[in-house]
Amino acid sequence: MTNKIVKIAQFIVALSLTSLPSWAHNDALQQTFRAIPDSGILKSTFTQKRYLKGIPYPLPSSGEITLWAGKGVLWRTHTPFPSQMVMNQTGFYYVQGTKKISLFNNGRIGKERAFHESLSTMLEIFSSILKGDFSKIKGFSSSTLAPTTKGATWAVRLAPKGNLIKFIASVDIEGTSNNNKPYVSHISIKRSNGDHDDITLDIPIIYGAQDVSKALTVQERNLLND
Amino acid sequence: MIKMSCQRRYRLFRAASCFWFVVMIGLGLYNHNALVNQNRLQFDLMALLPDGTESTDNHKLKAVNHLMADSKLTSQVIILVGAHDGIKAKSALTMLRQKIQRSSLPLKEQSATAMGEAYKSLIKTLHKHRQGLLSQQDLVLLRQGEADSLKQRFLSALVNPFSPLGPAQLKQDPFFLFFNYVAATQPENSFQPDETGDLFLTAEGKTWYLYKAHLTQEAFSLQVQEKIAQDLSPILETLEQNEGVETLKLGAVFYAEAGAKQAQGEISSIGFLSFIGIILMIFLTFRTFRPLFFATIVIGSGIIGGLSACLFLFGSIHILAFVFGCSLVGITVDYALHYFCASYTGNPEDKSPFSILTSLMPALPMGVLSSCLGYGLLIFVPFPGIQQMATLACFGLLFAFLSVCLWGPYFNTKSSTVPFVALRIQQSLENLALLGQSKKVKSFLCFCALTLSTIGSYWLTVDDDIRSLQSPNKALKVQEEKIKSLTKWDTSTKFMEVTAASFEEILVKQEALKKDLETLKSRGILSDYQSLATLIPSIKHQQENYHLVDKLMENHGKVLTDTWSIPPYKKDVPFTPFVLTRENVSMIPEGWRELIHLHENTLSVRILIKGVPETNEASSLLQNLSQAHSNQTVTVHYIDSLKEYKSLFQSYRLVIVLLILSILLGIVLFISFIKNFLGALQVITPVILSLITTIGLLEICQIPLNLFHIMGFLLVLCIGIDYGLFLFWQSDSTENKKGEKEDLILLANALAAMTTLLSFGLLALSETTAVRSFGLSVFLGITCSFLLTTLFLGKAKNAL
Repeated sequence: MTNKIVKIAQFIVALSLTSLPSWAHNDALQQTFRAIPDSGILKSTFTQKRYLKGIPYPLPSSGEITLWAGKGVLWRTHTPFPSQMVMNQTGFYYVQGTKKISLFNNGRIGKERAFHESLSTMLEIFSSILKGDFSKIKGFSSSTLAPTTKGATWAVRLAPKGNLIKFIASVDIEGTSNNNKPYVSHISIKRSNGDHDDITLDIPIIYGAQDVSKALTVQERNLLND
Repeated sequence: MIKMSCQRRYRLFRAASCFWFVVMIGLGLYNHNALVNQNRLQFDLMALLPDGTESTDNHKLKAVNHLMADSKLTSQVIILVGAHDGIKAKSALTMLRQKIQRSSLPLKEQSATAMGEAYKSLIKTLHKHRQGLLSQQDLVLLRQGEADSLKQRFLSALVNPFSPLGPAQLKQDPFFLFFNYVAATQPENSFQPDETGDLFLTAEGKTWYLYKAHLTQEAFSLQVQEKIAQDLSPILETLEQNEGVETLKLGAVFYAEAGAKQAQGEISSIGFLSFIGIILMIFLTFRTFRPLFFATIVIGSGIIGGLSACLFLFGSIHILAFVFGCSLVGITVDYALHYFCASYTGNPEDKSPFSILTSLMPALPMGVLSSCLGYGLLIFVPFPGIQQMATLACFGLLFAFLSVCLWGPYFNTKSSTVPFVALRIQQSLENLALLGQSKKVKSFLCFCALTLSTIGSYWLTVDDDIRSLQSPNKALKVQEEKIKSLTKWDTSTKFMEVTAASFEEILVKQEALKKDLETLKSRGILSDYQSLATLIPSIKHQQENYHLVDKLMENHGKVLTDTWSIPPYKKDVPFTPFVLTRENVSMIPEGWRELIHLHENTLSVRILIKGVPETNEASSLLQNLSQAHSNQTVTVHYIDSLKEYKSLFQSYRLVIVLLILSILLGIVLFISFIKNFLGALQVITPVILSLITTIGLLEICQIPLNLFHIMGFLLVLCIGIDYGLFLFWQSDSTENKKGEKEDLILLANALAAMTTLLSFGLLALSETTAVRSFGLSVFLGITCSFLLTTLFLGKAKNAL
């Protein structure tokens, strides 16, 4: 158990231990993706089920997700309880009222370069998955799969390499198209410890950089804009 | 009958000189054995501190020394291997490691994996006691009754798929309190491990791999430095050339090696100049090497005798005491030169081995006695370094004097004709002395010296900062700065030392101190601190934590049940606090271990304090804080390492200034006793004027005075007094025996001054600040002293 705790503590570091990108295929798929423009914004709603080892039932939650390219991700849960989490270049935060509070203690750990680098890597992975821009994800090898969820027209499995294997077994991404525009509709993250998360995403709304004020409230901008 | 008596005296003299030779050989062997076989030469700065007394200042310096020893600062070797291509950097690291392993370098690698394992092992142990362990932030939230905030954080982390907190701890660590504690207590580190556990970082477009090791032998050992220069430096150069990587190195041994190299360079350049200069000067003056051999033997015997006395009385000698003691014994060159010059003026008919010596009476023994008196006073100064130096100098002078008496006759010139060059120099000096016989000139010189010193006093500054006395190798300094900038290493030199009989007392005190340190942190008096109490709270504090956690569980433990209908959390282990003792202290990993120092009966644990501004306000606030927390059972000292060294240097500087004044006073009293007060003033006036002129000149050039300038002044005083004494007794003797003898004392003084300038004055060209300071003050002081003594006390018997 203690080893697990230590390993989880090391997770932050390990995420940045990945090596080279290995996206040799899916070019066609990626070309058809409507990549979010620089500084653009992706907004979608999600439903999530977390399957945790030792807990007999999945933990369901739903809410909305906002990705501001190059800035960060706002993960807003509506059910079963309202909560907001921000992941940006400076750290992970939960939001209490209008205040951002670091998930990592007193910020001491946040001073470390390794931590910053791993945060940046995590943000990059998450953003790239949402954008379908797999070519930029480092440390994973990919293979195409047959879609398993209803309505999905394509599926990709990302298998981590190096130290990431200790934490993540695989990430399955499935998607479809809306008005000939592909989008990610389902993400399944399988962890090495046996836990897994299933996230279903609705059709995203994409905003250009010029529409930031339309897409984000002042509070959202403040939360992401560090 | 008279002839028989002379022969007997001569035989006695020969026996005595032979006996003296045997004594010298014996003492030489004793010294060799003590220094080479028994390593009785000390390098530790702490050995310079007063022993046996426990004044606060001494305690603080010892604490600084303990910190350096515990953190193994001097034995650490750090090498960074960087390349744009991470694979290339890694491969170069592997090659470096293999080459070091194959070589016989005294290095033991500190593996990152081993260090990580030590940390994991501690966390594993602490996990059993997790209910009493909280991070500072969680503790504050719980104390302030903000459990809702913790609950919110927990739920947010739980539903975020990318949260690294993860659900794995749900059963045993609801609210992720122990996780937070682990994260908060991890030592700050810019590096990350790769697949094989090697540490690396990426910065400035390069991947830098870390090689960390410690020396298995003394960093200041010359053999170790040679090994580093011969084996490690070529390995790094080869890596750079063949693998196209950049290497950066950091470690005291590299600075020591560069320092030794610089010293060797200076010895071969300045030393060569000095050596050649002295040989040429003596040979051109006398057309013989006899005085040179004689002077070398006299100085050598002085050093052998002084060193033996020192080793016998103190058991060992510090390197600084040895170097400065030998410098002081170096003044005996004057005795040899005066003796040799006097041998030209002796009566050729007089076969007595002591005839020349008699002609130097009482100046020579007076010179020896006055210097011994001066140095002898140093023995009462409560600093072992000064006492050793004084002993070496006192006995050195006495041994050198005896060597002059017993071996001098073997080095006499056999000629009674003064060589032409020697005569010309003597005559020129007599012309100079003639100039000084005018009262107006003397008054003018006094006026100039006083004016210079008055003007100089306007800029008078002193500098006891150890950093300005160091002259670290520039290339290594650049590498050190780069390593610090890459790794964000901040080596704190300020700390609080908490001493008590048990860890529990210390931890309780550190927890109390932490509250005040937090206040100072919020006021910007410090940027951060590292306290052992953050890692291991006191038993009392763990119990408090446990109650807070228990209350949290009681009120909010059902959060999973409320939200997702999951069965509530149950305590799986009873609470037991973790107790830190002498027996289990070894499990504290690197990064924390160096905070602890185990004394025989007590323990000291440091709080490292970072980012303290160099202001009196910050210093006194921390000082007051430490005093306020000290009591009978627990003592707290705030220690600024650099300030402590500064204070040590300041003490030594002040002691030597007092010593100079005492020597002057001693000489005045001594000459007043055997002659008169006016005579005493005549002897000391030139040397006093020289010293104040030198100080004035240094200050006008805006060179702050440091310990090594003052050491130089001491040498100037001792040598300058000799010039004065010889001339004073010469004039006295001349007055008594007018027209009876011609002497070469001015010449002997000039040669002695030139020898001193060539051997010590040239050190002003050194690149090492301390050595340069010493050389500069000797150069200026001896020049002034010789000129002023000649002008004030010289007699112009042979002037053309």
